Amino acid sequence: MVLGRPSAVARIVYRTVKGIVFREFAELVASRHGEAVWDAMVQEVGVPSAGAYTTVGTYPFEELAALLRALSRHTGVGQAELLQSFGEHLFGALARRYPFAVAGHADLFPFLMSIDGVVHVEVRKLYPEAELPTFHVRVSDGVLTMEYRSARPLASLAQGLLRGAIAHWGGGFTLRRTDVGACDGTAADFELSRA
Amino acid sequence: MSADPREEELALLRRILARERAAREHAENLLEGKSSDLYATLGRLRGVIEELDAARRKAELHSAAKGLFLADMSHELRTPLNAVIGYAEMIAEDPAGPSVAADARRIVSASRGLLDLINNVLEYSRAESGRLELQLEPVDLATVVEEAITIVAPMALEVGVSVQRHGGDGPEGFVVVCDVVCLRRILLNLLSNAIKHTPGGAIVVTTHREADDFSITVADTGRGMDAAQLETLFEPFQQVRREVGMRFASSGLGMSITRRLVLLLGGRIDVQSAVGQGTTVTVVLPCAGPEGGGEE
Repeated sequence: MVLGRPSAVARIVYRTVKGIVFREFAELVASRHGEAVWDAMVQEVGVPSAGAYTTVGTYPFEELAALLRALSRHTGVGQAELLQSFGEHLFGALARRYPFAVAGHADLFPFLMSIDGVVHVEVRKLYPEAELPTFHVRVSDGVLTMEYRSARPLASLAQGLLRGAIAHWGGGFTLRRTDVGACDGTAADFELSRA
Repeated sequence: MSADPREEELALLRRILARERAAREHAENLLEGKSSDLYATLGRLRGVIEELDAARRKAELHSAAKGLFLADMSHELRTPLNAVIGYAEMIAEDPAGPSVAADARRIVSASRGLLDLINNVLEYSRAESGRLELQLEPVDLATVVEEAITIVAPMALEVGVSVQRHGGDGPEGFVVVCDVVCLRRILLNLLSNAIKHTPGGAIVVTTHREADDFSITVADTGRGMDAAQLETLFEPFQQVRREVGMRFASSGLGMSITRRLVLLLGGRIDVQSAVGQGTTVTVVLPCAGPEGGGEE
């Protein structure tokens, strides 16, 4: 995954998001709601990039947040739900773009356990400036617990990504989310177990 | 009043196109930057690869030379040992025979040669591993040179080589701070090497002092060396093969040890040679001893 990581100095957080997230967000909006909606959103929020995103770039998190608010206004759907839906779409897009990250994992749990130690290591090689969230994973009695911690309030996006991962490996899992800390979307524990 | 839908669609398409163009331009700029970084990194990597390659080739050559050295050394050890055993058996078979004394002398000679060989190998090993500890003390240079000449005199006499000492254009004798054992070893190595290559010729040892340094020059009228031989002169294990068949056994380590010792003493060594015109080796050392241990 390519989203946010808590800075060592909590008060100085440079929150950026990789361009592929913006590109996929734009693709999703355009395909589901039309180019005109995306165009209107971009004009409304007046973001510095003017909506000209490229997968190899990096952009401020605030642009994503502003676009998300705009989409919520246009669709009347809550931001959390939109993020989850986007996360599900994003997982498929990432899996197609970076097949090496999912290949070799016969099951969901081994993949999730490899995110921090393998996938994010590779992401950092490709994008040294990426600010990645942490996913501490433990498995006990057949239940996988993933602790999501980020500088960005994107727990719903993580939840959507997990749903996308579950679908990628054929489903059959239940997912439970517990917000922790300030309950502002920057920290959540996810529990996955076979249905 | 509503705008013309076609105009609106056209405007939308223009904005989409403008965004895509801006995104492409941004991506191109980023990729140009990445490309420059990769180019620079590639250049550095090529440099590192070349260095590693050179180091590997050197290590392979060294390893191959060591292999040859071991093979030759086995031969060099076996020859005198066989002589010792053979002559000892002859004495055992006929203890009162007429050639007992001559056989005993041959045993002694072969044993000494063997001991020299083993000493050289051990000394090279110590010098190479940096385990030599210098004992610096005032040394009278003329005395050390005379002693060395006296030690090699029998060897020189055997092959008809004259060895003389010249005081050079400096004082006849002077005291320097040095490790006398190392200095003697250097002199003996240079002299015995010169004697081996100068059958029937002459060797002149010259000492000279200039400013804070002193020099010892050993010049011979021997067979000399070509450029290829000069290039590998100080490489360990390179001498044995080309010296096979010479009158005196050689470990092939003498010049290598000499260079290591000179460096340990904080000095330098220079060799001038031409085939058929002899060889001149000059060792320059600091009069006050090496600074900070005198390593390379």
